[in-house]
Parts: sequence; structure tokens; C-alpha cells
Amino acid sequence: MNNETAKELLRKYRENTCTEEELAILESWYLKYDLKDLAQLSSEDLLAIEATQAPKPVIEAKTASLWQKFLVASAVVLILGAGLFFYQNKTSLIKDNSPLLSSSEESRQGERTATLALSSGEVFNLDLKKKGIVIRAKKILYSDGVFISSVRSVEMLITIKTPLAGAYQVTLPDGSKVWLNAASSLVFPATFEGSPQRKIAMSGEAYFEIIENKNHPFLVQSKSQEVEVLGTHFNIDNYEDEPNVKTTLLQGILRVGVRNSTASNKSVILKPNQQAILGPSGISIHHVDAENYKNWTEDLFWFDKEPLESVMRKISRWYDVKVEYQVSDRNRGKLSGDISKNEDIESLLKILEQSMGYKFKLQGKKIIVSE
Amino acid sequence: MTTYLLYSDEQLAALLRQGNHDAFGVLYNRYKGVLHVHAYKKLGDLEKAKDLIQELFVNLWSKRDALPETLNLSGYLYATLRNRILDVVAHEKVETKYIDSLQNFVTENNFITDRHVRERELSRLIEQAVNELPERMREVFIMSRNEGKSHKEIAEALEISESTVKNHMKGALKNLRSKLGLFTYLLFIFKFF
Repeated sequence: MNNETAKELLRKYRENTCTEEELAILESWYLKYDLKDLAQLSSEDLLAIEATQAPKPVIEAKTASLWQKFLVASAVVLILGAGLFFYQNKTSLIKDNSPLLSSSEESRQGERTATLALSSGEVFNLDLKKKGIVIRAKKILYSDGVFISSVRSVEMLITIKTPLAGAYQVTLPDGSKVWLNAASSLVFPATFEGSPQRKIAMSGEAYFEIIENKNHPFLVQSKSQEVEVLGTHFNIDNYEDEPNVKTTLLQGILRVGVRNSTASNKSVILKPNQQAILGPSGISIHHVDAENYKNWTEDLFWFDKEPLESVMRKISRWYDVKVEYQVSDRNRGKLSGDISKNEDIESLLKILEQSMGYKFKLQGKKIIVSE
Repeated sequence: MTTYLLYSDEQLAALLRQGNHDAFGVLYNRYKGVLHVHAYKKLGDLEKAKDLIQELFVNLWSKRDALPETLNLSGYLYATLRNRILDVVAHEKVETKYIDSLQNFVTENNFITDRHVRERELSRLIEQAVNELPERMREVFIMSRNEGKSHKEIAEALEISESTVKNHMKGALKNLRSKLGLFTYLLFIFKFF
């Protein structure tokens, strides 16, 4: 075969004189042509690829020191990277619409199940009939002992997400207990061993009973604050659509720190029956009957002189309904007391009508409030 | 430094332009696997492939000031590598298998005329090599690239990120709570653990 055209093409490429079309031919050929079939890559080859060092220091003296820094940086990054992500993932490529990110696509309204997500990408739907889960000895189980998954890597992060109208209990790897209210999330590592602190993150509302360990401080992070505890029972109300973050202490001692704050008052220490309220103007302490703030864990709605809108927010979360207001002032009213959450919504609305003097009408998944 | 692992290519490129070594390190670790495997497939020589890749990154670093604002980083790396490999092929002194194969290809007269289509094909080709990577390298690539993208979208949307790259919120968002998903908290954890 006459190889002239091929040779000619390559010569022109060397000399940078290819036309658009000649370039197109070469680049298209490039896509198709393989000198070595990858099936032949031996395990030694793969190891050699994995062991590739950082780029050799460039000969010029002035750039040598740059590469020294680079060598260290990339080695550290690799170690950290390997540590963070090392585990066996048999599932396919994590795509942009991976389960971990599903909440960014669909509205919470549609969710009916509590979910457990592992940083490996696996997601499990949790049975709401079982009250909670336990993480123990590298296993995740339901509180009645039924197996859900093992923890294949100690660096793994676990995320629990509750739907509207669903609460769940989690027993953390150190035995501490967390009750998650509706529409809330909790993120924590598979084990607290090896970290200087027991650190978890949450959104929504949760009640905590933390095992005391003076040598291993427990931290709860949420969007705007960080709570540090030694061993204690407390509640954090951090729903996005509530104006303030409320942290209520039942027993023990707590420090509540404000994140990203320019305010002078950056952290407060709470004693039992004190509540820290974090709002736009900073953080303040109030005296309360702390027991009440734990009522939701026992399936009770509890209201403390709350105006209409605040009451309806709680109701809409728990029953997963929307609220339409046909009233002149949503901030009127001071409802106090408790109501069982297990009431069906019609009975509840009747009770509210009598207590608050508003009219509540249920239309499908919507409550219309009028005067 | 841990935080950069989840940064998107765009964020890392911006840091790279500022001369950030750590960002460069993350980019190197993110891409070297797929690039090395790809170069090996084309050249048949592991050492040669390794040299090319290292050269590629050395050049990326020295040209960091000149990187355009809207750089498609992976596309840039892939195209540059291809051009370097074509260069090697074109400079082969002895008659090689390349010539026969190229000649056959020319004769068939079936090639992709659109440059962008070729570029996309190239990306696809290089990235499918990720499945052939050793376990750990595969993880670094997948997690950082895919989750880095989403991290950026979510961080942009919620202004929660404390990244040095400024993200501007694109108008008010409906249903903030539904967007405040698991990933945001993963984000917290990675910054603070």
C-alpha cells in the first residue's frame, strides 16, 4: 500500500502546516487508533500508574524550589484523598444526579421515607415503622437488631434524612442518642475514634442525649452555630423557616457558639432550663421549662404562646401540608398547650378552631386559614 | 487542604491562576490517572506516557497566569495531551504501525469534520478509562469531579461555601429547604473534620 498520504500528513503536522481538513483527519484517526489494547495492561502496569510520582523537578534552578513545595503538597493531598475516599464501591459511576444529591432535584414535599445515605453513594430507604437505627461495631442496624448495612470504611460519613411527617431516632457510634424531627438531617462519621472531637452536623430539629466523655468533646454543627457539649440532654430547633435557632438545655452544660459572626457576643454557656436563641441580632439566653422542648419526641405538639403562623409551620411540617392564609394578621394569637401528634388532621384542626378562633379548612394537602 | 478535594475544576483553575500549589496538587491527582492510562493506550510505553503527563502538568503550571477565564480545564488537558501525542507520532523516525493505520484510515475517508464533536469524543474516550483505573484512583477521580460540580452548584445557590472563589447567588431561590440537602452537610464535614 502506498503510505505517501500518511507520511505527508504527519510531515505537515510536524511543520504545523496542516489544513483544517487534514487536522480533522489526524484527530479523528487519533480517536480510533490504539497501539496497545488496554486488556493487556498487567497488574504491574497498573501499580506503576498508581505509583507515579509528582512531576520531576524542572532543571532550571529557579523553578526547582517550586517543585519541592509541589511534591509535598501533592503527596499530602494524595494521602488525605486516599484516606477520605478509600473504600470498595462496586456500584457504577456516581453521576450528577446521584442519590446523595436527590434532595436538590425533588422537593421535600414528595418524600415519604426516611433515608440513610453513605458517603460511598449508597442510599437506603428506612422503614418508618421501626423507630430508629443504631450504629455499632461497624454495622448499621435497626433498633430492633435487623441489619441494614456494614460500614466498610471508618472514614465513611452517614447521613440520615427524615421526611415531612416522619421522625426518627439514631444511636450514634458512641452510644449517644439523637431524635430527629420531621424534615431534618443528621450527618456523622461511622466512628468517633481517631478524631479529637465527636463532631456531627444537623439541620431541622433534633433532641440529643449525649454520653459524657470529658476527654472527647461533642460538637453539633448547624448552618449558623456550633454547640459544644460534654455530656448532656438538649434540643436544637434549627428549621430554616423559623426566624431563630433555639437551643434548649435539659441537663448538663452546653456552649453555643455562633458561626460567621461579627457580633460581639460570640458564644454563650447554658445551664439546665436555659435556652439560647440565635437571631439576626445575635444570641441571647432565656429561662424556660426545658422539658417542654422535648415533647415532640414523645409525639406531642407543644405550643408556648405561639401566634398563628408559628403554629401552622409546625403543623405543616408534621402533616406534610401547605398552608394558605386568608387572614389579616398571621402573627396574632397566643396558643399554648400540647396536642397529641397522633390525632388525625381533621380533629386537630377542629381543636385549633376552638382554641384560636380561626376557621381551618382542609382541601386535599392544603389548609386554608380564614377568619 | 482537605477542602480542595471537592472543589470543581473551575474553582481549582481560578486558584491555580493565583499560583495556589494545593489546588494544583489536587488537579494533578484528579487527572493524572485517566491521562496516564490514555497516553499509555496510544503510545504503548508506560514510561513515555508518564513523561508526557508530567510535562503536561509542568506546562500547565508555568502557563497558569495565561489561562483564560472561562477555561474548560479537562478539555484543555485532553486536547493538549492529544496534540503532544500526535507530535510524538509525527516525529517517529522509523516506519511504525502508526503509518499503516493512518493510511487505512485516510483511504476510508470517514472522519469527523466538526472540531467540537472531536473534542467531546476525546473527553468521552479519556474518561471511560476511569473504569480501568486502580480502585483508589478511580475514587479520587469520580468523587472529586462529579461531586465537585454539584458542590459548586449548591454552594453557589446557598452562599454557604467559605471558599475563596466568590459565588454570586443567582436570584432568590424557591424552596430553599429542599435544596439544603445532604450534600451541604457533607460539605461542612469536609471543611471541619
